[in-house]
Amino acid sequence: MEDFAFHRPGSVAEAQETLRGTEDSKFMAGGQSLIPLMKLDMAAPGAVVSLTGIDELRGIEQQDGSLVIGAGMTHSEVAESDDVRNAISALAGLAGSIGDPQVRNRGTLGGSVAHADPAADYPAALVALGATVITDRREIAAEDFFQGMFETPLETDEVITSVRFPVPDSAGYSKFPNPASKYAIAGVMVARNGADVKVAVTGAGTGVFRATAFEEALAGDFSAGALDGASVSADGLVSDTDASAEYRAHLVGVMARRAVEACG
Amino acid sequence: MSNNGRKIKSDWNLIGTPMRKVEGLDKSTGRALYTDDLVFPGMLHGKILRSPHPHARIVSIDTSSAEALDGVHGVVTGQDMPTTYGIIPWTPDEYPLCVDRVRYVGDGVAAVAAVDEDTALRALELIEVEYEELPAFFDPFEALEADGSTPYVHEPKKADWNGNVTKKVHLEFGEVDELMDGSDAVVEGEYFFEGSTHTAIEPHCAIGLWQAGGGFQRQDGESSGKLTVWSATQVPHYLHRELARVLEVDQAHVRVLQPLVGGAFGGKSEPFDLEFCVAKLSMITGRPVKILYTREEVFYAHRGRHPFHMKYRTGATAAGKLTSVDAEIVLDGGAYASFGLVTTYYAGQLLCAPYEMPAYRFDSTRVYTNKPACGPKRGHGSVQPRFAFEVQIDKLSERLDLDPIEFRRLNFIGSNTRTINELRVTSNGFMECLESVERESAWKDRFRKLPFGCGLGVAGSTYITGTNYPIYPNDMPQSGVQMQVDRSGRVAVFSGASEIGQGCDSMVAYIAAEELGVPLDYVRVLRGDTDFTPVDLGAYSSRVTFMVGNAAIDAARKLRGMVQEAVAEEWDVKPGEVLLAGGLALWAPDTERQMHVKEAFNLAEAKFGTLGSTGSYNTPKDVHGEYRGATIGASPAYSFTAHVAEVEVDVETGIVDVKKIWVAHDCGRALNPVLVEGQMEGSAYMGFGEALMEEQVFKDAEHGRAGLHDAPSLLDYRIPTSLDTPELQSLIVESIDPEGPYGAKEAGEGPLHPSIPAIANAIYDAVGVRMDRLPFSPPNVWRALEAAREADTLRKPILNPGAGAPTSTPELVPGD
Amino acid sequence: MRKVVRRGNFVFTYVIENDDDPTTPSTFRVYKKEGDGSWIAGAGFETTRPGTDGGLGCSATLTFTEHPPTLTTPRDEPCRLFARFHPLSGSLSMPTVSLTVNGQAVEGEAEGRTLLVDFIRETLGLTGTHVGCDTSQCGACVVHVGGASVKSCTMLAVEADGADVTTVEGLATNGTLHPMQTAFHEHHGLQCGFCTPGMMLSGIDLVGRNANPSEHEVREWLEGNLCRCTGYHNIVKAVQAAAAEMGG
Repeated sequence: MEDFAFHRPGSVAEAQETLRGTEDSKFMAGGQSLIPLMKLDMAAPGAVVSLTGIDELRGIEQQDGSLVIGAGMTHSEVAESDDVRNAISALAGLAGSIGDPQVRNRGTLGGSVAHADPAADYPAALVALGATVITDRREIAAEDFFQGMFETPLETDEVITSVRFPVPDSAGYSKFPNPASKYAIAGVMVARNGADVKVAVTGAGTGVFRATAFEEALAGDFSAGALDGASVSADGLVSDTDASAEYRAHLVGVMARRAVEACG
Repeated sequence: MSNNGRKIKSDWNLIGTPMRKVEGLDKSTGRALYTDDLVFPGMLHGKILRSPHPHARIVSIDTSSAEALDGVHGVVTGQDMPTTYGIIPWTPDEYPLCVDRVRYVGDGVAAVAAVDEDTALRALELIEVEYEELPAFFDPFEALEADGSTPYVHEPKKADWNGNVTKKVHLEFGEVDELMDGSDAVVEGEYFFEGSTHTAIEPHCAIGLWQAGGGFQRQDGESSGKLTVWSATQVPHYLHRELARVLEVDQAHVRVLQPLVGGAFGGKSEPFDLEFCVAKLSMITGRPVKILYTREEVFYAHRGRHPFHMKYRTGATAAGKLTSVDAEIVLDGGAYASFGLVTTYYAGQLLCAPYEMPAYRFDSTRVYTNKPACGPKRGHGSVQPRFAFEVQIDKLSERLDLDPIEFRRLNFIGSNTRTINELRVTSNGFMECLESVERESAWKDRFRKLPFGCGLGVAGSTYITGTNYPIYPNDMPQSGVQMQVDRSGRVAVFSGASEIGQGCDSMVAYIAAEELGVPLDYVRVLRGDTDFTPVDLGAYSSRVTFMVGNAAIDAARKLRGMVQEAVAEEWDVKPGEVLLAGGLALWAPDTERQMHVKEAFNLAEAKFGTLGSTGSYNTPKDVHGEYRGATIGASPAYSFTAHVAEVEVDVETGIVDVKKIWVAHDCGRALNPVLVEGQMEGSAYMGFGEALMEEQVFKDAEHGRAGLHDAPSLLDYRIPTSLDTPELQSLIVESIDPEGPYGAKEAGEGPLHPSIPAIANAIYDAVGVRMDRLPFSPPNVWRALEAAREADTLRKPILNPGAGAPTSTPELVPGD
Repeated sequence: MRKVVRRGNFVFTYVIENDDDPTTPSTFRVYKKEGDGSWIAGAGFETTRPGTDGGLGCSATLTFTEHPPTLTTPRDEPCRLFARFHPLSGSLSMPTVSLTVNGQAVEGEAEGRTLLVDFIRETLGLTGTHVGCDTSQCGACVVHVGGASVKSCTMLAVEADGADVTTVEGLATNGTLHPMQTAFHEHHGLQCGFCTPGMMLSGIDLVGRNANPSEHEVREWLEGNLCRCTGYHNIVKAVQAAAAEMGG
């Protein structure tokens, strides 16, 4: 690993100032993806600006039918939060299925969202729940936020401060995980709001995507049975040593049915 | 004393009771020292440059820029150590660092010692190696067909030989073809066992220290020195020999120390490049040098399970008696021989129990390929054929409408007998193993009767308790133990056995405490140092408890005799009436008459002088046949195992959820049942991992650099977590071996074998699908399920015992 | 045609968008080391647009001149070696890290990149914390930071500045073993012992959150700690026994 300068500012403003003042610097929000990458020399920032010391990124609150979770909340904190469990238990469950307990103790919501790993769990939740990513300067709808593999509209010095999740009527998440990393090989989040159903798929493609055919089927009949025989096309899905594109396409259907069954 | 108040279940006070591990406290407090925990003044850190090519000639190596880098103290290449070595003396085919040719991606080419790892890594980048790439062999069948038009992986020993063949073994016992032809049913199958690796959590690490001069002068006047190597090895004695030979240092001036080893499983059972490199770099720099493998390098070092391509034909009578077994096996060996000569024999030789085989033939060929070398992994050479054969038996049982446990009973070979390949079998508790798993799993009520998707499978196996012969031919003992008692009442045990977590330090301590009557915490095990411990050959082939145990008993009883004699003289009684137990010497006829062992030891020291003894063990020599190869697979005793596995197959995803494995194992006698259960659980777990997820696989040109390990990290190479691992129930069977220490046999490798076929057979019971290729990973199982759906064969198989005898004409059932 | 070159935590996918005309510009999305993506090696392509940073990723636009192109990424080379021990050789930053370890205030210099586990093992000499994997899987390096278990190989030492850290050496107090230590020793929850410190620290974190974990809960919680010896059976028993002891 190459060496780098390290900063841990106490506010978002200070973090941005530090970042702008240092060439080739990166934010780090827990480091559970960035540090493994740096160990492999796949990321070699000149400076790391840690966001873990910023109080304004913390907290979970209910606001007009939404749950606003601070970007600095760890996956453990989200998983164990009574507010989250009561409002959107599937989201708490999803957070509790990320990596392992130690990763969850360090990794944060904001870090995961900004990283936009195509196999991460959170993107499925954000897209299915119709969440909004709130940064220091704007609000971005989840569907506009995830632009493909590791790609987001975030500017270099832009900090995610929180994510607003509208509380759905019901939601469920089902994941077929990579046994070692627990990343999704195919993960499906289903959320229902009245007649509106969103189905978001992570891990199977090169970025989170909505399974619109599933949504249509479920809009008419919100039951696992409505998805019998439904599948997504293998075209464009990832094929690798974990699973072929065809197998992933099949798993998306199975996970979707199980996610519907898991809807409370 | 930890055993106070424990129930004594045998003639012994401690043996057979649950006891803690003697080094357990150190391990639970963080005090335990592993090789990488050691730091020496002035110590340098080394790194090894590895080949990016699977097969290439080294045209030139320029290390001058690396040597000029600040902080670099020494650079070595293959030319500095141009002596071949190999764990098997007949197949020395590797150099510490490659001299003229690299044979796999990851083969060591040069090594650097520098002030820290970073500098060493920078120096590696400055080493310029010019390679001439050669066509590489990745597929063993292609390697077998090679005609020499491109260079073989190794130069053939004879001009017209295929240099890609390590070893061919063809052995035939009985009238194989006649009996096969006369069989009422014959099952044929093709099987593939994927390679897997040990994945001990501690990566390999070694430290070399060369002390020049030091008062040692060779006769020719040339200055010599003393070499010390600390290593996470499981074979300090073989390492000692090879270091001396390769580095041309008098063996008497080489000392190997073995700190605690963080797991090995066969993965540390031969010398590796880092051990030679730390030694040579220390000789060059005059400073201690440490090399620690990264996890990635551990995957390249490998020496794990060989991929086996297997074909079996198995015949039986209508009544369910085996008639004839015919096997054809190709072993994908990787780039070097390692233990491969032995593996090639084990692939066939270890199959001949626990079932009686009237005729048996095997043809086994180990092939070199340009991949990391395969070697011995827990259950060396016999796990793969056992998988195939136990599935064959399952198929045959079904063919004959017999319960597969019943089929196994019918063919039990018995105790005190010889196998078809003339191996001597003494104690044999296999029938009790079968009975235990049958009872505990409620087999009779549930086999073929669980709902679709759920199933039970059974398998049996046998394994050696040590190899009858050492790796290099000699008549000296396989194991030695030295003991001394001192005036404090303490017993010091000097043991050359390799503590790799399995508990051999504890085992010798239990024996010393048992025989000399001292509390367990009065026993000090002094270990892991070739300077002061007698030779034990190493922790391999499940030899330690049997051989070191017998040596320890031998040493302890000599001391006990002296103590008994001295106390008897003091009390004026017969020596045989003096008992040593519970920290006391007691008079058997009236145990009120007693003294502290310390006092007893003092009496003995006064009578005999300083008290010490040595004990040794060597194997009996009449336990095998006389044919060529008969000694390989011969062991003083064999363990026996039976498993039942219960699975639930998720037919939608292909996930096989192994709910539970019942593990019954005949270990002779459980010296400490808790340690035996730990070995049984760890073995069954490891087999489970191979069955369901582990794959040591390599890229092809389509997916990156051909021959590059596809998953050289624990991120990509999956080993089971606590959540993956099924419930394991250990069922100890004690057959009391006539030659084992207190009747003990091995427990550390045998119980791995049946996990894999038991799971395969359980999958069949669950969904009627045969899995003849490992691993049973979700994508593979799903593919098989899809094929069965297509063929409309996805259903619960039916057991119809005795319903119809098979046709009397031989019938070929093609492999699935 | 989409090809995945490599996958794990790390994804390298290239898309040849027009199979008929492979020389059509295509995207190749990867992590990059240098700003110009120069480490992407191979033949049969030209980098027509170096690519923009999106989060941590980089998408470069490549024009393939051969079909298919030969692309190699760092993970296609053997031995992307991890250097574990970084000396204080004076580079970009050398902050002093002050923290409490096992109840004692300690201070030491660390580079920005120094991992907490290296600081603990090399600078503080506490070798009970182990390293087994380099990629955050094995959990042999688990310690507590602020009472929560973390993988000290995946945390920077500088991030622990001001924190309260507990390692295996700090579990016993006043000469008395922690109930988790006693349980691992008594229940034979250890064989080679290499994973044991991390297992115990994970277990203690669990019991702190869930005083009476079920067997399944213990197994779920220990997912980030690999053991290769025991089959986990006795480890699970030990954690449950310790939980009973700690609760009582």
